[in-house]
Amino acid sequence: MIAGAVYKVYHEVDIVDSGGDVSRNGYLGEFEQMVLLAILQGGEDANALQVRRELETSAGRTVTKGAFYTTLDRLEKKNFLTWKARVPDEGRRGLPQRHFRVTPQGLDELRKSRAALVNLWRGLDEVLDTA
Amino acid sequence: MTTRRPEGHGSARQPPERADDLLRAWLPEGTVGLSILGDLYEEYDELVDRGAPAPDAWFWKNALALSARYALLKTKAGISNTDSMGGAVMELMSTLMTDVRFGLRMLAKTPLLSAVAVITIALGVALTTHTFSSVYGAILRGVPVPGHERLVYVGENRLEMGISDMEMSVHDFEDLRAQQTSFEDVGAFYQGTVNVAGEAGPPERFAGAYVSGNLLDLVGIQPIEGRLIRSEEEGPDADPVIVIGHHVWQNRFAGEPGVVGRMIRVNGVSTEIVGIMPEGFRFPFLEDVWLPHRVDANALERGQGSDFDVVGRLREGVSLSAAQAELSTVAARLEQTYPESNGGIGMIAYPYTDRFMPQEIQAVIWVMLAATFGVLLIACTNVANLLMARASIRSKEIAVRTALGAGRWRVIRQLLIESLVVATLGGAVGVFMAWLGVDAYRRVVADIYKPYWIDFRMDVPVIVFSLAVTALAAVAAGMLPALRASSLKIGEHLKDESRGASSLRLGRLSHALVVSEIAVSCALLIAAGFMIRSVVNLNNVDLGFETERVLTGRLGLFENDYPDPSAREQFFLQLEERLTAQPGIESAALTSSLPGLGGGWYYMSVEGVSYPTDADHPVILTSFVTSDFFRTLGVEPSQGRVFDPLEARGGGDPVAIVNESFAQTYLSGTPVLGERLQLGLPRSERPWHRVVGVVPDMHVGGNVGGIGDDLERPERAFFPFGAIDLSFASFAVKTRDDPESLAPSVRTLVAELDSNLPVYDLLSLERAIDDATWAFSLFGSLFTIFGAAALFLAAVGLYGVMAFGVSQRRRELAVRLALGAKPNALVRMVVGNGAGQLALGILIGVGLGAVMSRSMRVMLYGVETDDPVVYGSIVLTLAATGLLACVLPARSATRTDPVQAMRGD
Repeated sequence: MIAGAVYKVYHEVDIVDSGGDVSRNGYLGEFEQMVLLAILQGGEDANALQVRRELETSAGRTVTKGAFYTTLDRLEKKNFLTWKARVPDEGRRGLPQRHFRVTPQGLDELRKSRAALVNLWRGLDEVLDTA
Repeated sequence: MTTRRPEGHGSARQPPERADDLLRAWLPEGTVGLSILGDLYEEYDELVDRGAPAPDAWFWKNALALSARYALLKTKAGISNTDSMGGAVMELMSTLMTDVRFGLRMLAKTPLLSAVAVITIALGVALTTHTFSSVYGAILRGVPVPGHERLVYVGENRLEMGISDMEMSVHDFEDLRAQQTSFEDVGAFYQGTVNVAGEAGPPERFAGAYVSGNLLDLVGIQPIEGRLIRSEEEGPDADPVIVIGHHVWQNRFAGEPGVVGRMIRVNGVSTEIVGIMPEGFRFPFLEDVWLPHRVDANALERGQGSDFDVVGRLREGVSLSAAQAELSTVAARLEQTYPESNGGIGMIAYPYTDRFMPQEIQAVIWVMLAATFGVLLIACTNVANLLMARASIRSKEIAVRTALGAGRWRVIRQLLIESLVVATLGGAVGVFMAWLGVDAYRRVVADIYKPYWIDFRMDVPVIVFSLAVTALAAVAAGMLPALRASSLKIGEHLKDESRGASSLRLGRLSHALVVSEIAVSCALLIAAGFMIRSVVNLNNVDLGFETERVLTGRLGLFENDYPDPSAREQFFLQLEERLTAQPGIESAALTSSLPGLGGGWYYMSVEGVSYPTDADHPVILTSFVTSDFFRTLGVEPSQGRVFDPLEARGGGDPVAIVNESFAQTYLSGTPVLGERLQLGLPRSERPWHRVVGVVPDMHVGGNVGGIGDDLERPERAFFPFGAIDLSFASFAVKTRDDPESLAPSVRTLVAELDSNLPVYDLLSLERAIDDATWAFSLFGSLFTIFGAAALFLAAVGLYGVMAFGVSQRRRELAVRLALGAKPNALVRMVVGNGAGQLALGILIGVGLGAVMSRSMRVMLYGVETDDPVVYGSIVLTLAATGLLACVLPARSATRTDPVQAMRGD
């Protein structure tokens, strides 16, 4: 049931995000949150592949590359993440690799979202567990 | 993203190049895009290393998804950036988006029908775009030089002798240059092989143009280094100079700087490189190097010396017909002044590119474009029919909308947008298919010897064309159903519960569409049928000689290295001896021209026949051959004998051999052997050659696609190799094994005789003939594809319409069944309706096909344009396919349970 809900929300995010600014109201979209959290999970120098794989294992489904990369772009524009590029010694045919980091503003935003969600979840455990 | 595609490191396998290009076009610039690409490579390499199935498909899928995503973002950013207009445009966009979304939902409701519609449009757009890229690449784009539309070819004709176009003598050219005023300038050239040696590397043969000093200047392209040839370098006494092409500089000289000013050996003469032309410049045809022609008209008697191809650049504002008028005046003046050499000679001018792309071939290409528009028309008709079928199901929905106040235009717009959605999807798929097709086609024709400006690619005009075609398809497919559906009488439809007489049915219009569809595909199939027969005939043509295990090649001796005829003869004799002695070779022969690949035409005189004028002499395709020529090609004389070695060298009594057609046409009524022939006109005072043998007709070829003259003028004559002085010759050797495996040793053998002499066109005879007939195979296969596509589309269309018609009449059929009608009788009744349309369509189509096949007569080989086999088989195929498309839905309708059919609606 919950997985179903996540799936649905994800798809709405996916459709809307091509239309522009998801977090007009100040909150992060769900997919944006997931991306930022996955970067944090990946540790200091998470690269795009690690972040996406983290998302896929945690959420248990595939993430389309289009949605993923454009979300990264958007989060960068909002100053929620930064990256540094490095060219690895081997592999990738000499093309650069980006390593992502969540900015202090990004961390703030995650905290706000969590607080809002925790408030909304309060007292609903019974209802949702039986549903 | 413009960085070059990097080489793989870890994995040897490369991702598909096209997908890679697509990504580079759409991903963001700079590190962001490159890092995304890097991520894809990394995953791709992982998949390859792991041995995962279809990594290329994986790469394609991601490339398409990512490109589409970023393309959409870029388009949106572009629209909202135009501030003042932005608001209004976004408003309109959002209304349209609503319609589009609604349209997509409607399409998704009937996925099969939508898929058929999309594929149909895709096929139509792909074929039309592909053919247009041929038209554009071969005819419209033109020579890539500034003001190319003013470049004109000037030739001469001699109509009384049936010569409509010939090159110009050097004297006529000089007079024209002095007298004309219509052109900014006129220049001249002739083409020839250029042997470059002396520098590091083996001697190499290049295609060269020997030009007048002003020609390159007139063309309007400047060298990237050095200078062009100057007018004072035209004469025979000037210091020899050469201008080289960019690729020659790159390949032969490894792109070294300072090549200009260097001395190289050109045709045995020390020559200075004075300039390098820019990349891609190969004027006038497919040249590698340019040299001054070094012909001095003053030193030659009028009528002597080489002939030139002449190019003029029209003055701004002077039309081709004005120039033509002036040329006629110049020609008349020359005729008056020099009646002996210029009697009956006229001058003609036409666009430069027509010289190398004859009108006949252009016509065929245009016919092909018309044919593909036929396919597109069928595709649109199908989609119109499908949409009409759907509109008729929706007649109630539309009536409700109209009753609720939707304007006629609003309804039309909705339906049009639905067809636009179908057309856009189909167009996108179609352009993609065309892109793959053009690319493949380009690779197939890459090695064909053709003018340098002919190139097939999806450039801007082609893409614009395909967009226009898509839009056209959308309107053509959507307008009829939309107009019809919107003109309903609302009341009747709201009342009408059953599908009775008043509902929007597939009426006369739909039937007319089906008829025209069948007619067009019938015409296309007939055209395709003729092409296929030609290709089959060509492949099965009895050449009259053996092509298996024969290796051929060509050599050219240069004046400087072999100044007198005896030196040349000596060389060729040695060559023949050495070839014959070579292990692995059964026999060897030298000839002026190879069978199946054209030859030279010569005037001929038969002893005892009087010819009132020059034009009455036969003009015969003639070859000069050595004694083993016929043995090497497996040809036995039907009368008499072949040349002996002494005769072949030009010794002993002069002799000749003719083929059977020659004997029949020119020597009938007399015993052929012993008759005497003279090469050239009587005033040439050449010796009389006694006919010692008659050989069966051999296909000589040499015209469009390697065929042509054979059928109309099959007479051939063979003279001893030594009968004239040749500086170019071909050889043919019969080998014991695979002929091309002997190529290296033949090359070595020639190098031992003369290390400066390159051998070219070293091919098996089979391959050489295949190469010469490329145009046929190419056009033949294209027409076959068009025909097959047309047949498929027509069948789909007919089936769709019949199936829909039957489903509309399900209830009526059920009632008839319930009342005791026999199922077979019902099938006959339904099929009868379809058969009428089918017959009418085929009748019209046969007429169209007859017109079409006449216009492509030049491409047909061994088949008449009223060939009953072609017509019969096409009519039968189409009738069978059409009837099947009618029978299937009729049978399925009569098999349903009558009770259910009457109840369910």
